[in-house]
Amino acid sequence: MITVKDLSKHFGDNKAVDTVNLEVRKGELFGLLGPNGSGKTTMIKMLTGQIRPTAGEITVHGINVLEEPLRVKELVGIIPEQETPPSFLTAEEYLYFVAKIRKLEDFEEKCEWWFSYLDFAGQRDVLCKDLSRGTRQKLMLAQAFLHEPELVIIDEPLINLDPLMQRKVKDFLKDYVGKGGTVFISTHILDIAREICSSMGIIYKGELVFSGSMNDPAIGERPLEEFFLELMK
Amino acid sequence: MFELFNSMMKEEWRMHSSFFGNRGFALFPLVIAAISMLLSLSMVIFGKVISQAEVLLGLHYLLLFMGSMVGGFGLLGREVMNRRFGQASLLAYSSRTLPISERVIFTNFVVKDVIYYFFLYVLPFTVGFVAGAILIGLHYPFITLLTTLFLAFCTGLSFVFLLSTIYANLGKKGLFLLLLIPVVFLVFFQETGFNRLYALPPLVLYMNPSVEIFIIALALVILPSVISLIFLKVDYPQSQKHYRNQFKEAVERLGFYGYSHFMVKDYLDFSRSEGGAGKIVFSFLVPVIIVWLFLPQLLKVVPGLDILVVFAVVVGMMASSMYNWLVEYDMFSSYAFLPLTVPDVLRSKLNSYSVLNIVPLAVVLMASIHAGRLYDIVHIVLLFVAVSLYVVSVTVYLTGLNTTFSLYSAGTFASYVLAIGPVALGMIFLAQLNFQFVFASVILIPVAFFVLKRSFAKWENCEV
Repeated sequence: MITVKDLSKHFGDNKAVDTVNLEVRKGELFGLLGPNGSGKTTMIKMLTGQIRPTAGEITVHGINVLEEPLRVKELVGIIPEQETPPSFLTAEEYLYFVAKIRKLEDFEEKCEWWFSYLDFAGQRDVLCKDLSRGTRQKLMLAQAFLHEPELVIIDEPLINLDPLMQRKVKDFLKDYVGKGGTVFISTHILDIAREICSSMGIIYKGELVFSGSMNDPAIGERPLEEFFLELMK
Repeated sequence: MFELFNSMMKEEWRMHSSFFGNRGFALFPLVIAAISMLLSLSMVIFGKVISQAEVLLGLHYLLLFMGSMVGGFGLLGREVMNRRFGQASLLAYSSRTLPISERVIFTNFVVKDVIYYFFLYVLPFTVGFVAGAILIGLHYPFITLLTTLFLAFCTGLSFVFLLSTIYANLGKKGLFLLLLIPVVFLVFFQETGFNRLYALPPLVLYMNPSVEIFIIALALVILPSVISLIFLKVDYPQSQKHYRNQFKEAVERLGFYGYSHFMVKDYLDFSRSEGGAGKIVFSFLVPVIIVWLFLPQLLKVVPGLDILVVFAVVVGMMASSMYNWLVEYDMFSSYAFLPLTVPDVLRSKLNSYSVLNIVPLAVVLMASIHAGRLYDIVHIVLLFVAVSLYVVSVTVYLTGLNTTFSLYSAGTFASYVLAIGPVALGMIFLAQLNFQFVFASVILIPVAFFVLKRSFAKWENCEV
């Protein structure tokens, strides 16, 4: 579903991402782990055609991202790191706006389902600028799944959510992957990866220092934190 | 205390320079000086019909207005700043996280604004104006003029802070009071004549300096600020207003139109943001009316110039400010993860801009009717449409979706003036040769489309 070959992104002398090779297969829940500033968000922006790499190739859904970034955005659901829905639309209006951009029909029921599932129907008529961060994140989750994509790419999916909502979102993502969907998440919270991911990559200072299954022999029976810290040394 | 002031100064500088680079912003005072120098050089022509007293009146009120604009940004600019930087990231909001009182912050904020904008606007403006005057053999006492213009600037700034305090404390009642003040002023001046305008204390101080008037001018700066400080009420908006889904209804109504969802979003942004439709009245209609009232006086100096032609060109240029409103609340990062490109968003804004142009078009039509020039309406409308389209195309090319801040860059601003100024003047003088030549403005339309095409290509490659 995602193939990355020799991908690099340099900002001047800063090598934000350096010669990364990666493959995510259909039906995987892949976690890209790494400390703050390791290059996770830059990777996601390149995968979704938001920024162009300095070098390398990216294929998503069989589409060359560099050549057809718009087509990738049409097919994939994306949740950026910072939740920035337009300020003066209400939560409900924002979902309708996204549905119009994606040229969706019969989306109202889906919106209702998300309001109910993530328990923010009471905030549907509040302006996005007045919503709490957690509610904005719920809204961004809803917009990413509105067109029922086969692949969703999420930057820090649970960071603003309370434990109850985190549980619901984790369950939803596992169920979604169980039905054939593919999820690529980035996070620095190791417990999330351990609990829901089927495979992972660890990025450190722009370099992919590990890539493999959660049951990889290299990890063994050790706590993920121990393995992670060992790689950081 | 000084650390906070120092940090606020750095914050203001870095905020501006982050948008267009240190050098681009550092050159901005030079642009101001160049403009004011051109202004004083133009007295070679305008000096024939405008007295020195009127020049000084204009200068002091211009600085008063600039001070009000700087102060007003503290009020109206809050949404823009929140959108771009997030509410908690500005030092002005730090009383929530640091043990500093709101009064201390506000005092530092006012002092910072006064000093910062003295160097950014007032000083270069005065230097440019006095230097230009010397070149044409006029002499203005530099220190005196700098002092009185600075006082006029501070008066505007201070009064807007006072009005913001009234608004924060009294809410809608305050708003009513704010609206009542200009009405009272209009009634007052209608009875006593516009000579009352000369009573502005900084202007009186320049013309007839005395200790008494200096104290009065100073008091007009200090008192409103002190009152603002005493009744300071910093409002961190926590309330959640509820709105019915207007988007769905409006998009269904405009279903036939491809950009309906963007247009409805722009309309909702516009109507729900601070100021609402009042923005059209205060930042477009009022200046347009002022232009209409003062044009006949200014054009006495160049006999033969067609007032209606000049008015259509000026309104066409002013109409482009509406594009600024449309992009004010949007950043492309809000769309970057959706199947849209920057040109898509630019096109949507231009669609909304076209619709908003109904207002200035109506103004031009009314002016034509008022001037008894019904038979010239086609020429005038064509001229207005061509200029408006051309100016907005230049704006889009130079600033993209970041108009408010980009025009503070010296290079961008100079390019803007050079691209628009000669074209606007050319149209006016062409019409002076023969009114039928107004039709030549039609050339601007394909030029504008070409510039827009180049703009889309330029901004498509920008990264978020």
